[in-house]
Amino acid sequence: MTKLRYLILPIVTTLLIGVLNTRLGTLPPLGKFLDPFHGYLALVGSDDLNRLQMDISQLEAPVTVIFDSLRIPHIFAENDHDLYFVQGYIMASERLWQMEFQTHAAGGRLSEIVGEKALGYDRFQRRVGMKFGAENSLNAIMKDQLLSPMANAFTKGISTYITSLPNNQFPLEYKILDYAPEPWTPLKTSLLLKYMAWMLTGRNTELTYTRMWNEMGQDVVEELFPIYPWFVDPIIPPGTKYDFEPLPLDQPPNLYQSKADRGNIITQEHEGIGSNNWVVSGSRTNSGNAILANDPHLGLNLPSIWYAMHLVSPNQNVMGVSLPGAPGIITGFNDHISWGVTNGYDDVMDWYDIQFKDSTMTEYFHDNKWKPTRKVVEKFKIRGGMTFNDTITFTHHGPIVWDTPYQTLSLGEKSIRNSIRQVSTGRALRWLAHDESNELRTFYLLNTAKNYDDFVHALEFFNCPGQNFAYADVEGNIALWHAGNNPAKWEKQGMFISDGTDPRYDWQAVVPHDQKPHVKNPKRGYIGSANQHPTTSDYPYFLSEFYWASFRWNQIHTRLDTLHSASINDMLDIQLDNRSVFAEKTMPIILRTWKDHLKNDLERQTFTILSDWDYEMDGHSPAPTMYRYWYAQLEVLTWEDDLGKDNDKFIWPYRDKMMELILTNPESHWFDNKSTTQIETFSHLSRKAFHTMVSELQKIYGDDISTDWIWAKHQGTDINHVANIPGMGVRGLPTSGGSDIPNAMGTTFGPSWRFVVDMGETKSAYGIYPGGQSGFPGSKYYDNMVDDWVNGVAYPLSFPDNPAEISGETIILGNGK
Amino acid sequence: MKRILIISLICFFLLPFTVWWMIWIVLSGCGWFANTYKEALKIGIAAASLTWGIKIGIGYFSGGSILIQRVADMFGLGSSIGLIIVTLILAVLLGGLSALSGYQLRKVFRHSPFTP
Repeated sequence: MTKLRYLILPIVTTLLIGVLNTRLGTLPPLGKFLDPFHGYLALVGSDDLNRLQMDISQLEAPVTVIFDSLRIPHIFAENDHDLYFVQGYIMASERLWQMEFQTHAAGGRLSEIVGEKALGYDRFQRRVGMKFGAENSLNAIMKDQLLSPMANAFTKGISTYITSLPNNQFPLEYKILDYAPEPWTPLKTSLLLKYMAWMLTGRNTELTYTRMWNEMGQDVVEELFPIYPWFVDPIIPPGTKYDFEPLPLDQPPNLYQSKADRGNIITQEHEGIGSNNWVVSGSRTNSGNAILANDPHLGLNLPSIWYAMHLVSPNQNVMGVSLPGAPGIITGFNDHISWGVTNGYDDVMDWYDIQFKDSTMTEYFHDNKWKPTRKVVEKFKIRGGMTFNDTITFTHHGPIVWDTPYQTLSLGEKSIRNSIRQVSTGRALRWLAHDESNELRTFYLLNTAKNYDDFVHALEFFNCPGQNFAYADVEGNIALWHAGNNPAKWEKQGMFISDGTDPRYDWQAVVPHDQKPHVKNPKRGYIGSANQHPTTSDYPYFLSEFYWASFRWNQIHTRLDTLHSASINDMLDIQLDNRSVFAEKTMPIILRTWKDHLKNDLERQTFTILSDWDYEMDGHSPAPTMYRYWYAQLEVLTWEDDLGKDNDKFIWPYRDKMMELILTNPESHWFDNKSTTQIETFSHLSRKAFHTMVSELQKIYGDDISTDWIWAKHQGTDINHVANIPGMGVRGLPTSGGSDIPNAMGTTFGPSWRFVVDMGETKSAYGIYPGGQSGFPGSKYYDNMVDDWVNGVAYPLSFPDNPAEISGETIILGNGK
Repeated sequence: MKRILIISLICFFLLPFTVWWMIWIVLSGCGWFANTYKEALKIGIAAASLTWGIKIGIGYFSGGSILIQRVADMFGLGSSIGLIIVTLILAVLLGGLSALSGYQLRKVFRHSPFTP
């Protein structure tokens, strides 16, 4: 017995080592992680390009990869199989964890990594149909004789890299989260595309509009949220004729009014984030060549959402940015054409009231018949060994995303509430991304396109998320297509919750390709988009009840209009344009409401600064802080008494509605505060907001206006890690710009890729994104472009078709069969 | 001192090919053969901190400074030095405990002269 006491210390030590081998809460397994031989320090040098395996037997011929000074890989292959194999291989070598994590998130598999706390999120991903849509699209890819070899080669490339990795070389995040990569599959690529579809189309306003209709009347909805607002500067130049015969649609005589008395409401926040693209014809450029500019604005993260690449095979010579996890180039240029995208913002997500026969939800009423539902059991593996089964009911519209058991279990989880934006209990979701589609074919055809006809043909296959594709080619053509397989809807279809029993509310057809909004070589010599309305109201189909206000495009439009000999530098300068159109149009009126009511020195100083303001949202200036803070107060004073808090029961109207009221109806009843006996007008509210703004900014930042109230401090930009791991992002970047500004910068969003190309025979292209090519946080290439991105620098992109013309580190993969 | 250097060298070249906790088994073995508690403790602490310390140093000076700083930030430690100190404390703790455990284990299996 006395000897047993000698066992105490060994047992304690063994237990301690066991604990240090286990992930506790958000902490990695500390022993394993800090051990310099197996933990994070084993990754020192893992971004060294020499580590890449040289003798890949699956390649049909040797492939040369040259990494330039930005670490952009230029891949020279002798055939497309080898090209996509090596694209997958190289992409995985730089971004493996990001690729896999994003697809785990999209496919509802985060519980496998982080445990039960992600189960609510995972269930939502499956219930909203991410996996359902990805499987449908995978069918289309695999049936496609052109695309399935491409997807398979890409997949093999990624998996080859994964199998070449020893355990201690798994990327850092695997070590932090304590799990291992699994073989890649084409389904993961499909999930990634659905992830993008969710990011860009996963929003709707049906429930909030329906509730408003029920409580305040349909006319109030249409007044506050007009389909064509007062200030619209559309993509397709006004005056364009839509001289085609639209498809006949069966429209009900009266719009169905849902009771919409249940469910939570979470809608898109009021931030004018978005993207810009434009093309200028050679008649307006100093080179005489068409120029394309594109800056897609997205949530900003590290590793960056984009990965720049140059792909060369006998079939193509294309450069631009790719999505880690998907083959090909998403936006960029080749020898003949260039293209750039902005989000189309069409409404491709509709909710339907479903009439079930009983609580078992096995039959529902549609088209005067009881129809069977389909039940799908989704299995979830939870870290630690548990599993969970969730039964999802499908109608022909789509899944019942929210039913009572799910809602009861999942409400209150912040991560879900932030992501779903709006939920609707017991209703079916029809989402375009559920459909079988083959966006990869579009990108392959764009990558290999030689002219405008090829470009138009490529867009036929683009389903979701609908995008505005700007186009410029070496022949001097410019064009813009509002692409995507949008449902052909009658006026206001899907604006409110729809009647799920009436087939007239079903999506009856897709807008024919040649009837999608598009324009080629317009007289004015330029075209562009900034997520605004694609057309004027005479376009025959109803595409959406909401687009972002035209502020950004209006400013770009104004700038382009003055340029008759535009250069690449002019285009880059417009991408950095910080002028606020809203402020420019309203500030003189606003100042008049304050002028005779200044109470103290600080208010007089504030007034002077805003009187002298040039409407530039410059990070070094305090004026944007004052103006945006004042506006936020004005919104509260205007809407809260009528509509409650924003995003609570209702959403508040957007800035373009406010501008209309200020400029055309400053005595509108919306400015009157219902809780007071006096009648308030815009002037009253503007003054009150001004006094509040000055006193609150003083409380927050003190009296030193010129130093402490500046916009970069007030807004600033953070680029957080994709999984929000502390220390792996960059924070507090001193940026300029803002929502509804061409340089649409925000606290966590902004221009994810600035790109300009002059389409001469010899291409002159510039690009930058806020991150770096490497996904390894210990690499100097992880965030090396961030500072230059903040400062508005763009790098020249090297685009030869001959490897000898590129300087950089060269590796040769494969020896040939 | 020589013994400690030899143990550290063996660990240094062995560890990349084994599981991470193999060092603690090796140090337990060293403790088993130690003559006194103090000797076991000394060997365990010195060999563990030397082995890990050298590896950390090589990592830091061969391009790992950015990574160490990021991981330090992740743990809220502020500086690379903080993270290195925490790591070495862990090495000291586990090295000492492992060697002492080996020393204790030998006592369990050793014949006692007082056993009838």
